[in-house]
Amino acid sequence: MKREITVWVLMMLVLLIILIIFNISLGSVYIPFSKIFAALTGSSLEEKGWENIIFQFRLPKAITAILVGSGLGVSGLLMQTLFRNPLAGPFVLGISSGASLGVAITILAGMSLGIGLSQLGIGGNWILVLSASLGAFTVLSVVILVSLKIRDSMSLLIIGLMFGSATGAIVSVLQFFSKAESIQAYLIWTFGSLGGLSWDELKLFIPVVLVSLGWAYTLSKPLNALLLGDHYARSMGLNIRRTRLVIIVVTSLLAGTITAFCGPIAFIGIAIPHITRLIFNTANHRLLFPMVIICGAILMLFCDIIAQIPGQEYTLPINAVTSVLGAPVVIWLVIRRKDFSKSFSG
Amino acid sequence: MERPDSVIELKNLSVGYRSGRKTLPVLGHLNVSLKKGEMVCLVGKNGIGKSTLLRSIAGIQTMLSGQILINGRDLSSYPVHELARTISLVLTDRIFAGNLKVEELISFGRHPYTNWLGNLTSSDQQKIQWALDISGTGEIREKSIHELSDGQFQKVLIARALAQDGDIIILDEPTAHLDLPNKISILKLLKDLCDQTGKSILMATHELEYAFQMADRIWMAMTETELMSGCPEDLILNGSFQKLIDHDAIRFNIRNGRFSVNHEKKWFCNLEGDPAAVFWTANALHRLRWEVTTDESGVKIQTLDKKGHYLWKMNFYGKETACKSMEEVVNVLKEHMSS
Repeated sequence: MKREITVWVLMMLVLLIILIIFNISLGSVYIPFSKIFAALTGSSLEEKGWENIIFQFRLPKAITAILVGSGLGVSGLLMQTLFRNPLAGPFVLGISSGASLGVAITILAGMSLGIGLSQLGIGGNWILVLSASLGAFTVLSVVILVSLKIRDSMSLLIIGLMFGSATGAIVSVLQFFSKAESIQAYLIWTFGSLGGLSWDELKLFIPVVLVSLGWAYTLSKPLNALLLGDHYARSMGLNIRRTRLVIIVVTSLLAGTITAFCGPIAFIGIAIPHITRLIFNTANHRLLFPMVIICGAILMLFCDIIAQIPGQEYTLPINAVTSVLGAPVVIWLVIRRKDFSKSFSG
Repeated sequence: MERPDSVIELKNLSVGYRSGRKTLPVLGHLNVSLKKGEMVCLVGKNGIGKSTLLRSIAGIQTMLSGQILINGRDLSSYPVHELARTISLVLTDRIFAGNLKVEELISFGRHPYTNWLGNLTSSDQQKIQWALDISGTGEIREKSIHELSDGQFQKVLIARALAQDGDIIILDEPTAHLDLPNKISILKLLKDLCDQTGKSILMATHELEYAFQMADRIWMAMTETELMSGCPEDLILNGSFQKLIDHDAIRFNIRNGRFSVNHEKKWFCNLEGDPAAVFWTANALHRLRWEVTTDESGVKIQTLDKKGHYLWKMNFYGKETACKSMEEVVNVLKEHMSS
């Protein structure tokens, strides 16, 4: 069993590296593999334009894809274990709806006041990030306050879903009163984008995601205890309320940061933990975390490759590609492995 | 410090639920104790609050008032990790991770001892191995939880509690849903644990017959405010037990400890013959609402042992019939009943 897992991990790491190189080699400008490889291994290229494309655009995007995939996968895993519910994902607590609300208010309300994003210039992207973060943070603070009040996690899940619906409705109302161009600007944000991050933004994005991933890993033991239910967990010396709070904070950091920088990216967060559990047939979080990180990175890079439609100048909205690609994968795994439902029942 | 005699002592304890400012007491005025190495069975009707009491003693549900002493110390003075090293639980809660391996689940019992990552030291490994051995789960250690039978799963839960290595093990209906051999083997495992390791066991159960055979002491929840504690035999002889199962439909035979369904009797019959055949014939008569009497003037049944098979001679007010099987007897009786 141990050897089988090692073989799988090695195979997936190789696949990951191949996908990184392949991902970077794709785009509207053709750059040969050899040049990409040379550039990535530190040699300087004669074609300064290519070097610029690789290091200023494609590499940041690949790094973003890796972090988004791992981050959403891990926060999905955290939520699924906390709520012991296979349908839970990073956004069940209303993080993405909070972020959408923040962005919707900024774009839709801002435009009606006559301030367009274009007028904000270079800072525009940061303003979107800020408003998404503020929106997500506001909704989350409420959810966290509620979570301190109530005992059982199931009620929290329902409250999170209610917040999601309510904020979604407010966004609809805002859209109803807005001009077509601002609605379009908002819609483009909801499509999600991995390519919007420059090194400046990555300087914040990379450390926040990496620290949160590390923090999540330290939760392996409490999460394992939670698999047995709240009663057993408490009887093994776990402080449930504190653990729940930390899980929510880590999830918010990951999902909130990712949504703020890349827009709402659906499906990955729910699917990755399932795919990982099905491949490795384990429920132990000490194994699951590294595997989810690798699987998340692989799937996100792959989705990004598809989104670029090799040979075309267009890129499809990443938010749509993840679902279109991910759904069949999960359906296939669920059908192939008849004992899928067992991972959530005793 | 001298160790106190009682490992669990309840002083005027009241348990239940708190909802806002209201309290919903479930069981109150509890004054009982459990001595080291004892196996105590908590019995009582469905819904009387056995699980609530167990959770309160285990410290995972806040009590309403009174005091719980664990090893002579107030429960509330225990830090969570120390309590976790003292009391381990086996509950009826579902476990939501079917693809967890047996060995992993048991190793989680070491959580109160391991570091922040849950790394197992060699002494942790030894404890886990011991728990696997003593519970007889060594052969299934590589299996996933969802592959186990109910009996195996219950043993694994007990092994997890053993790995947690508390002096006290609290179990909530560990034999529910199990077939007879599994029931007995679980109960025997627990009894042996008490005898061999000196662990104290508190267990809620509905298996009255076995509880009274195996427990050193019975805690009997009679009403919301009365928890009787005593030696099983005393509770039977002083009539408390009959009071507990006070119900028209059940009859408890104090002479042999057997329970029987109490049917209202409508017909009477005299019965004699070979003891085994008489016993099972009476069983069938009882089911059909016939009372066995000594009066020989009415219906009479005589069983005859014909070298390994039985015959029944039946006499209905002088009219004789012979039957070769119990089924035939039952058919004749039914005919008589419908006429």
